[in-house]
Amino acid sequence: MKVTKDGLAVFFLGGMHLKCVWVVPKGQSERIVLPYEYIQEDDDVQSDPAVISHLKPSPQRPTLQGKSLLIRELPEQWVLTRHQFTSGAVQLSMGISLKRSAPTCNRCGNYDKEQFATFDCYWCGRNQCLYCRSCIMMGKVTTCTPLVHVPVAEPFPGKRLKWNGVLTKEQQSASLQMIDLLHHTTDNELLIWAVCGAGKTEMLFPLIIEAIDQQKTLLIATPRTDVVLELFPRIRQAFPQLHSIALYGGSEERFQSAPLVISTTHQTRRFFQYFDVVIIDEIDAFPYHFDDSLRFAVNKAAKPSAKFYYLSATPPQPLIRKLQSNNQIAMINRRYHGYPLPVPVIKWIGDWRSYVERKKLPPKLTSWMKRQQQESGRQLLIFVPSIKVAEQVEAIIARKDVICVHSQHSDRKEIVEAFRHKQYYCLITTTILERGVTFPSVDVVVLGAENDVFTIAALVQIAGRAGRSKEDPKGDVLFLHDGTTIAMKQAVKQIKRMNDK
Amino acid sequence: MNKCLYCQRVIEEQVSWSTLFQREHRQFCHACWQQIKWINDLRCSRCYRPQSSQSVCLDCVRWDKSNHWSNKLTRNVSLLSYNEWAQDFVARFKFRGDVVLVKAFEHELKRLYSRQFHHHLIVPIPLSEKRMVERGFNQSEALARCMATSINDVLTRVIHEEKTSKKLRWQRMAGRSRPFEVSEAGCLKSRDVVLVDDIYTTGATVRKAATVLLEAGATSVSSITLFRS
Repeated sequence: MKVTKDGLAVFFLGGMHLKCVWVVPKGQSERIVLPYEYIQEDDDVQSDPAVISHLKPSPQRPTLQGKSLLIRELPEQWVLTRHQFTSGAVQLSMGISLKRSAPTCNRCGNYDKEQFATFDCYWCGRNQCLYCRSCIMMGKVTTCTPLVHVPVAEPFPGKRLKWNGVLTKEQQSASLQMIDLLHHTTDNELLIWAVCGAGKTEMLFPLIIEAIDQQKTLLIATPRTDVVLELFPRIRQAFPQLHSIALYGGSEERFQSAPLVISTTHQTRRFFQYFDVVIIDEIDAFPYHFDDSLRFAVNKAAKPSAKFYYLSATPPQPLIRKLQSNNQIAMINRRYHGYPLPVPVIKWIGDWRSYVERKKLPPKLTSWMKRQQQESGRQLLIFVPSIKVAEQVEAIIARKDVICVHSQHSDRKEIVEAFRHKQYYCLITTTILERGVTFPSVDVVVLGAENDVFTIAALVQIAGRAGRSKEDPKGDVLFLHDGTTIAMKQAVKQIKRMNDK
Repeated sequence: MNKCLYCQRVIEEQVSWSTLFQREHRQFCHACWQQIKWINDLRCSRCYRPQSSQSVCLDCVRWDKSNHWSNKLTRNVSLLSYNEWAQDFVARFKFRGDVVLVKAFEHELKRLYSRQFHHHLIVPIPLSEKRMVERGFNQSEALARCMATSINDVLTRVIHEEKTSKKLRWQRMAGRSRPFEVSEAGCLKSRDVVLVDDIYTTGATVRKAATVLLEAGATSVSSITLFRS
């Protein structure tokens, strides 16, 4: 047994699933949950040893702010001492709690019975040990797995941060509204409804400066890894003196923490009541919009007193209704360069699927592409409804400077980067690139715009890819369809309305 | 509504006569099921290596040439080819510990055992203590439990080795180490044994296990693995 003088090393603790007991340590009045191995002779032991989910009475909600991790996620060389437990510097809580035998995973919030399974567990020796399947890719949580709550203290920069950029009038007023919320006593939510290309990231900078000045921790959460990868370098560049980290599946900094964390919503699950300011980018984007457990993750990572900022170009109706009455919406109708949004053109092209099946492009698309390439000089972004169609269209065009990208593509990051550097003329994509990514000068085509995947929000976002830069604020947006949908009409209407305001 | 055990999407059942009379419910959705590559008749007759003919493969010939290793393993039978999807599956099943995934192949494993290895003693390949502590379960045992209710844990793994998946082929073949020991020899006397493991790559692991089983009195040793790479 690798027991040091003070406690047990993490690499040893991680190997066993701890039996726990309720104990009133000698000289203290309150009882705590202590791993069985840490009991001393003069402790007042108040319960039978049991795996944490079966401990009676159940452990209470933890109170420690910081991170909640599995033991094997802690640095291996750490030693957990008895003193840390008895002084409350480290707390244990249930990985899975069982209420009348209905399980809830306390890491990811999953309570769907189908998302749990049992197995022959070597750790606790029971053959009906329950584990959560929903977050298993982040490490297995079982009924015998405790979550270890450890505090995280991060040094803040001593000086007030500086940023030398300039905001437009619209951006300025929105960012003032954001800072106001920071000081507000009752409200704790604000929706920032900004058109695509309004310069949302820059608008956040004054808020970041103010929050860091007040020693507040910030989380910028976004549903997509692509957005994290795009946002992170921009923020690091703006504030090189601030310690910021990017967390996404597979990132190396996964277990670190910093005053400013940019993270996918999944990765926020490892925090517990840590952030004072939570900024959620693309609030309407899949999968955040749908997935309860991701909402759980963000709420878990935030302190009870945290301020929430929701960013979106196409906010969901319920959120608008909720915040409208209280004036908790900041609107930005202008792009940062002041030009209006490109208005999409809706065009019927007939049964495009049968063309694609016959390995041809619809003639209207072919002729338009020919003209586009000669006249506009922009790159071309083609959105299609599915991965299959993306690959088919790529095969039909069959040119070296035309490539397709989708969620299953292993070089997705590299391809998007290469397109941004103009190594390709045309990129065919599924809806994965509908938001968050910026290309300076593109024309946009949606092939098969009648498909269900192209919702109002998706179409508005897609149209928002065009005309992003000051140098080329215009761009063509084309919805090619085989039957107009309400979504297409509504999207155009919404864009026009934004332009008129 | 049934959900796919693998991707969690709702399985859209297309009702036909065959689905109506199916006894077992399909655990995977169509898209996931299609990614699975079953090993058909075009494979080595000794070790189920997928190839273009049914002859004995070069792998097996090489094993037989070695004095030390010949005649250890009677044959190996595998269900699936170790393709890209399988790597994903193994990562989730074995390394992440999503044990319930074996259910998808329960039916096929059971059938394979009862048709080809009836009355054989089922012995799962054990894990070392250290690996067991790390994973919390033994993947081979989980597979073996699909085949029959009674399995025989007669082996122990006494030497903790580097993961074989990190070794090269010649390193695996040259290894003369004896990682396994028989803990209960009593039930092995003049019995046919079938070993169960998750992947057969070069066959070094099952041969090492076979060696000690034969020494302890087993008549023959074969193996069943879920994947054959």
